[in-house]
Formats: sequence, structure tokens, C-alpha cells
Amino acid sequence: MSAPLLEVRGLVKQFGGGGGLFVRGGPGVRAVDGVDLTVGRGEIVGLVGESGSGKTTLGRTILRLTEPDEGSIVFDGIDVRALGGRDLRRLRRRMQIVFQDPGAALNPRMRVKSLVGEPLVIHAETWGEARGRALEERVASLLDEVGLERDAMHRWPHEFSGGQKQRIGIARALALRPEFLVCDEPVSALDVSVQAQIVNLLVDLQRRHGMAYLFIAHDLALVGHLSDRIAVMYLGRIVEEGPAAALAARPLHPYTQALFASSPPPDPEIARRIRMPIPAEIPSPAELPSGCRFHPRCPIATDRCRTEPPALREVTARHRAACHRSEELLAGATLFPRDASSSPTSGPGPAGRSTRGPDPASP
Amino acid sequence: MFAAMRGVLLSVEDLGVEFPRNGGAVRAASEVSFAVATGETVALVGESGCGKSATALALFRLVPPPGRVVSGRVVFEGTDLLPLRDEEIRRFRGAGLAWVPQEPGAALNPVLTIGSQIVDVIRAHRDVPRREAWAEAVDLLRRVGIPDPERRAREYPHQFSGGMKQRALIAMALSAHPKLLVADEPTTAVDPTLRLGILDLLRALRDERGLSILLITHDMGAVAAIADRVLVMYAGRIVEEAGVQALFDHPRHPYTRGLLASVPRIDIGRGDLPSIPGSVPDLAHLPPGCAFHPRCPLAELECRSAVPRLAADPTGRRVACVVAQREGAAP
Repeated sequence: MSAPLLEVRGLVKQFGGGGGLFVRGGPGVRAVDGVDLTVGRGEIVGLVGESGSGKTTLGRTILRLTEPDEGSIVFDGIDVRALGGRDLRRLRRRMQIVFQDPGAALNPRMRVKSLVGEPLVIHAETWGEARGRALEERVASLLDEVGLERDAMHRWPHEFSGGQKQRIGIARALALRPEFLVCDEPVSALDVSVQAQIVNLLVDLQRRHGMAYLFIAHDLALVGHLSDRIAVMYLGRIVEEGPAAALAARPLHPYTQALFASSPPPDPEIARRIRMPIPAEIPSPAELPSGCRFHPRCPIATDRCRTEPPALREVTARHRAACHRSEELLAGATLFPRDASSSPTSGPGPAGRSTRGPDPASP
Repeated sequence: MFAAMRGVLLSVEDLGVEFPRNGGAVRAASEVSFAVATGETVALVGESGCGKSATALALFRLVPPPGRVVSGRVVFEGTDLLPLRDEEIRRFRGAGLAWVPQEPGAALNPVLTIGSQIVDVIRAHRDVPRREAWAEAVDLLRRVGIPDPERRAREYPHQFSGGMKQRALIAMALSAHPKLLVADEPTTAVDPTLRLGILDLLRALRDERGLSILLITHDMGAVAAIADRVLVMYAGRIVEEAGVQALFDHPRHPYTRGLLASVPRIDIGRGDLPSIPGSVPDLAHLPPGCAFHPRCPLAELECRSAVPRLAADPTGRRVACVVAQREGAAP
């Protein structure tokens, strides 16, 4: 196997800490806390996690839109952390990002031609003359690639719908023919009927240009639909990572199982029986639980889990999980059966309990 | 059909809502008619600009001016709310119909404790001593699944996570003992595990209290999980109405079919997702005829000129599509 396109080792990004005039001194929050991740050439890696998991920070830190505190980022053999100024800018044309909110990501005072053409102008040293007719032709062909008419270039962002704005954002990201794209929740702000169009466009562009994606989303079904590999993040760490099909067929971390149990297929017969698999409250990243960070929400946590943090290790071929009890899950334990009336097939914990807990004695 | 069995709590007839724009008027809701029975959960489904929020606001007579209700009746337990005087409608807001807003952050007062905000709502509706109202507030917080409610009631909104704020708002909505809860996108922008928690809570309230729920959402998973009946809105009109199972098994309007088909599923591999072409129309520039026709794979000549009637079949299903009506009730 050739070297991966992107290799991240021990990446840490910390916010706050150290104290200040209004901030109490302390350890701060490690939003990304020792992440290892690789992305191969032309590969789509899906990154899922709930809010506060650090998935967006991870994506931005890889691009150095946010400066990492520790760890290494190697892109095509280049040490990304060692780069400065001009060299970093040169690398940026190979690594681009598509943002969640296309409205906020586009400067409202720039016409589409400038928005899409701006990267070409900035990187004129590599792309040659980017003015006048030549620039216009390049912008037109980029707009065509994302399914927009040529004359869109003379209009303003506010004249477009959300889906069209996201197409403009994608055209801008594509302008420099990047090899790697971070897609940060690219469809979650869009109307449902438009989401599928944008997902199809991104998959189509990836096939046509052989780009690699880090596709960040909270929607497991979406990530499962388009990814080659899936990484699941929880409170700053990757807790499971593996080939998409294997991970979907047999999640090896209780958290991933809970996420799957929370994303039922759109079928009332199944959906109506589904109950909340684990307590909904995510601990504050500022007060991390001891041992395994997931243990307070885990239905099969043991004493060991409360004290000893599990390492992310290979449980079966190319499929890694950070759980002391992954072997039991690999052997077929299902923690959250679809039918709420039956009990889980394994685990001493209170799996399958109802956590809503309102007492019926209220007025 | 549920309405006939259990008694109609709310009935909306021919509701029209308009907003003036650029000298003209934009119809946010047109000829909207539906009913909610006691104990029933009805989902009002649609995308941005479909008119679902305008419809919901009209139920409370809270359409923000210069927007206004231009036609119709909103009958709650036999009383039409639209012609009532302000002081009269206050008796219905909260105690009859209660609103759970979408943005928990914006809906809570940042300088008052959660408990005292609930106490204020309780005392606005019923003449109970403060101490008693406080006990009731704590009890409500416990009911909606907030741990350690005695302590939490004395905390401020910023000390609550997003999910807990959402629960606190549901507790607040329940404090006046409403019969109908109107929940505006309660699962939007909410993490998957929490999303199920909120749906669990709504289900429990329905089962234990016989509460009616009008769920305004574009989350088809949430609809599948708790709705009894579904109304699909597009460009200001109801285009389909059906029981939840029937709608998911055999959607009839091409828009509903497209919506359901485009939801990504993990059990179906990569490959193009079925998608609806184009985008949601601007209400100020609606296409003539059926507003969906420019995006519709089945559109015929007639669809470009005549607005299709929302016609009921013998089973009580309604669909506003001439092609679907011709296909008949059989799927």
C-alpha cells in the first residue's frame, strides 16, 4: 500500500486554559485530544460525532485554519506544521474546505465571478494569468461543473437559494483543483429536498477528479451512504474507525451502536418502537470523566472502564475501536435491540432502560 | 377519521396568511384545512418557506405584522380564536394551546433562573402561591427528565446545555396544563441521541396525559417515530394528508415521494440518491398551476395552469395532484 495522502498523528488542539482577566485558570478544553487519522488518495473518510465531539475543530486544525498545539500533520510527505507564510499558502491550494453554512461563507459584497475566481487570482503564480477573458472562462467552466449557468457569475450571493449558494461554495473550493477537501457538514443547513442533490454532486466530483474527502457530519446514515471509511469521534478522541461496510454491519464501540440505534430507517413500524439508547447528556469537555470518556453513558461499563482509558486498537482487520469490551461486540452482542420489549443480549448494565424518567405523579 | 373517533380538539378551516412585499402580497398559507383530535399527534411537514410556521403562528394569532390572517377559522374546542379580543385569546394561549419554540437559547430569559421563569408562567395562568408554583416547576422539570431538578431550577439558562434548555421549554409549555402542544422543529439541529430523548418525552406526554401534539418539522425520522397522521405542505398549501404508515408505505404526491426517497439510508450503498431537481420556489414568484410542477417528473400540461384540488379519497387520505388522483386510492 502506498503512503496515504494525509497522515495525522497525536493531534491536539486546546482552547482556553492558563487563566486570564475574566477566565479562571485551568487546564482548558482539549477539543481534539490525541487524534490519529489517515486519508488515502481518492478516499472518502466520513467523520461522525455529536456536537462538542471536536469533529469540526479536527477538520480545521488539519488545514491549519486553527493552529494545532501538538502532533503531526503530514500531507503527501510534507510536514504541514513546519510550513509558514508562502509555503503554507502554496499547500492550501491542494487542501480546501466546503463550509456548513453557504450563506455565511460567501462574502455578500462580491459577485459570483469574484468569489469563484478569487482563489485563481491569489494563486496566479501557479495558475498563470487570471484576468479578463481567461478568468471568465475558468469561472464559467467551474460553474458548469457544479451545475450552475454561466451567467450566474454576474449575480450576487443573495440572489441564490441555499442549495445554489452551496454549489458556489463548492465551485470556489474546486477552483485550484485540490487533492483533498474537508467537507464540514456541507448539507445540514440545506432544505431536505436539496440535500440529495448536493450529496450527489460531491460524490460525482470526487469520482471525476479522484479527490480525497474528509466528510464531517452528525448524520450517520449520510456518512454511511458515501464513505469508504468511517471514523467516530467522541469528546475529542476517535473511538472507532473502520471500513464503512464493516463498521455499519458490526459496530465495535457501544457509542457507535448507540448512534446507529438512534438513526432508524424512515419506517414508522420500526421508528415508533425505538427508545433513547443512552442518556442524552454529553459530559462537558471541561470536566472529562475518568477512564473511558464514554463510561457514564455506556450500558456495559465495568469498573475497569471507570479507571483505565481504552486505547484505540485494531480489533479485527482494519477495524479499530477504543473499548475494553469490543471483542464481545465483535462476537455479536447487540446492546440496543430494535424491539424495546426484548432485553439486550449482553451486558450487565442497564441497557435498554428508559431514561426519560418522568414520574407519573405530577399534576 | 381519528377526529371522528376521539373528538376534534382543533380544527383549522380555509386558513390564509399573507405578508405584504414590494407593494404586493405574498401568500404564506393558502386554503389550509386540517383537524387535530384529542390525544392525537399530527405532523406538519415541509421545507423552508412552505408555510408551516405561518400556519402555526396563526393558531396563536401571533403572525408578526404586517403579516396577517386573511381568511379562515381556527376553532379550538368549539371557539373560533381569530375574531377574539386580545384579552380573550390569552385564556387560550398556554392553557389551551402551548408553543414550544425552536430556538431554546433565544426563548429563555438569560437573567432569570429557569425555575422562576416557569413559576411566572404558572402564576400568569392560575392563582397559586409562589411557593406552591415553585414546587410545581421543580416537578415539571423532573417530569421532562432534568436530573436533580431542585438544584437545576435555581440555575440560569447559560448553565443548561442545549438539550436541557429544550426540555425546560417543554416543561414551561406544560406548566399551564395545555391540551395541545405545538412543537416547532424540536429535533432540528439536535444530536441523534438527544433527538430520540425529546421524541421519547413527547411520546410519554401524549400517552400519560392524552396531550395532543402538532409537530412542525422537516425531520421525516421524527415524523415516523411519533406522528399518527401527517400533513405535507409545499409552497403554502397542504399537498398531501395521510396516516403515518400509509404515507411512508405509499406516498402519493410526487413531492412526498421525492422527499422520502431522498433520505440517505445506511443500509443502501453508495450511488446516486434519488433527488428532487431544482429548489423550493420563492413564495413571491410561484409558478402558475401546481407550484411543484417545474420540479415534478410526472407533470402534465394541465399541471401548468390549474392549481390541483386537495381531494379526499374514501379512506380519508387527501392529495393535491391530478396524476395521483387519477391513479386512484390503490397504490
